[in-house]
Amino acid sequence: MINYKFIDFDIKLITLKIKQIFNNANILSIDMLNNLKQYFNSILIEYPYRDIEFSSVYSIYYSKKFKNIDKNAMRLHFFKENIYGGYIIITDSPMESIGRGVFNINIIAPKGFYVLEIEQKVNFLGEKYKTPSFPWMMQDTDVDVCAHVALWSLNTYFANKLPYYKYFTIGEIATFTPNYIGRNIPSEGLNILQISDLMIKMGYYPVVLFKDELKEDFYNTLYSYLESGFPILVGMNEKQHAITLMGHGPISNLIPSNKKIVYNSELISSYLAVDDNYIPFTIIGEGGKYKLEDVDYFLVPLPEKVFLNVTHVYKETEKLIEKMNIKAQIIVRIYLTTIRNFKEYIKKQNNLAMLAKEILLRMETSRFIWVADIYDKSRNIISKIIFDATAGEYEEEKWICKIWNNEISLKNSNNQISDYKVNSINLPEFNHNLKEIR
Amino acid sequence: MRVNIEKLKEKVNIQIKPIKTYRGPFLSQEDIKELRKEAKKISDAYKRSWIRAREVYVK
Repeated sequence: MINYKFIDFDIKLITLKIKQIFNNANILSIDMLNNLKQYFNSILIEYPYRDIEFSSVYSIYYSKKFKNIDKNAMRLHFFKENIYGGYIIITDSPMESIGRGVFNINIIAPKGFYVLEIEQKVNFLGEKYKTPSFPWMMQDTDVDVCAHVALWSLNTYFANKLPYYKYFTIGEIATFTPNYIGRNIPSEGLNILQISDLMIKMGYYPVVLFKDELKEDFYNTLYSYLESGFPILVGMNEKQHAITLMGHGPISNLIPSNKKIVYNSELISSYLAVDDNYIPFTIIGEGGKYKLEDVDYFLVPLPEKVFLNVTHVYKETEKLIEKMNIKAQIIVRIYLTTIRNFKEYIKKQNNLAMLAKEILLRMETSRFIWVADIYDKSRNIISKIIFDATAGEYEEEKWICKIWNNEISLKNSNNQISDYKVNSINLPEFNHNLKEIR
Repeated sequence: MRVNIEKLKEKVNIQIKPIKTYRGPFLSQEDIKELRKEAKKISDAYKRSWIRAREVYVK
């Protein structure tokens, strides 16, 4: 029978329990759980638990070892008073005994951050618990390394969120890794070719962007893809490490006065990530474990029909702003969304004039659209420009809708432009993609 | 998600002991032989239906 035991959050007690059950577990790695003590006060221990991820690694590696390693895992469920906080998997692995974890993002993510999340379901003793979280796992070190885990995190996010992505276990990801030099298991790490190839095999159409090529546009680009709802795999050459970005920090109200166009990414000094070396969540940038400058490249797992790279959207937005002849300082925020989500957002706007609403609900666009929101200094939206995400980078114009100065201009698929006069356009911020932690 | 922690603790603390423990199988060797014969029949029936299905073209 499965055994359950409630204990207080005491690392010594937890270690004792683990030692009683497992012969090989690396007790030193368990110490990391101490970081969770600030959030949770009691733990429910569940053993045996057959974990899908540990089983996937067990069958390709641990079953072949001399050491008798337990194929069952242990699950520690966390509670903060009477709130279910998620769980973590403990295994008998002699290298890294912490496996994957599901944590209530509202409890452990820093307040004021904006995050991507999925609702993960947990079952024990016949009860179902739902936890908003982002997939996280510790690397196994022998079979899977940081890049495998970063890919697993972003794919598990998509597989839970969208029905057309398939779930892959960490063992499958390690097995599918294309060979480069030498064997794959035990893993010596992945290079960018292997990471990109794995992403393609998983059903994505990744773009790979480098800091030394994009220079000052690098962080704008990174921000826009994240703001669009994509977890991003970032690589750090110096640190020889890869992690998955899944959120960003608060947006500063201190707007630099020396620039006419300020991009939203310039008002953000930190990002949030899941890192297989630390208990989630890891801050990058101000007050974090890594500096923003540590990031050298990133891969975005795009769907097929987002042909247009966001860098071109930035360039055309700047040109269109020039034509609008705006004198005051403005803030620009660029992100991708689906026309379905955009029209749902328009439909909900009760303050939007009837004619403007009906025009926007009827406009024809590609399935994915890039949107540039233009704000004044007080954060009121003064203009919106929509771009065709299926446009090619050398097409002469990529915009398909412009909202500016009580006018809506629409461009149809035959390049015909229609201008409409409306009374007023009062639109709040579109924030469908990320959720604020309060 | 909120949990009634006292109720959960009560549930977890329930001690369940078996009235006896012993090693299987529970069925007799005769019963097991019979079940294996049945399994062979089912397996053969599947294969016969596969052979028939090969010749059928659905339009």
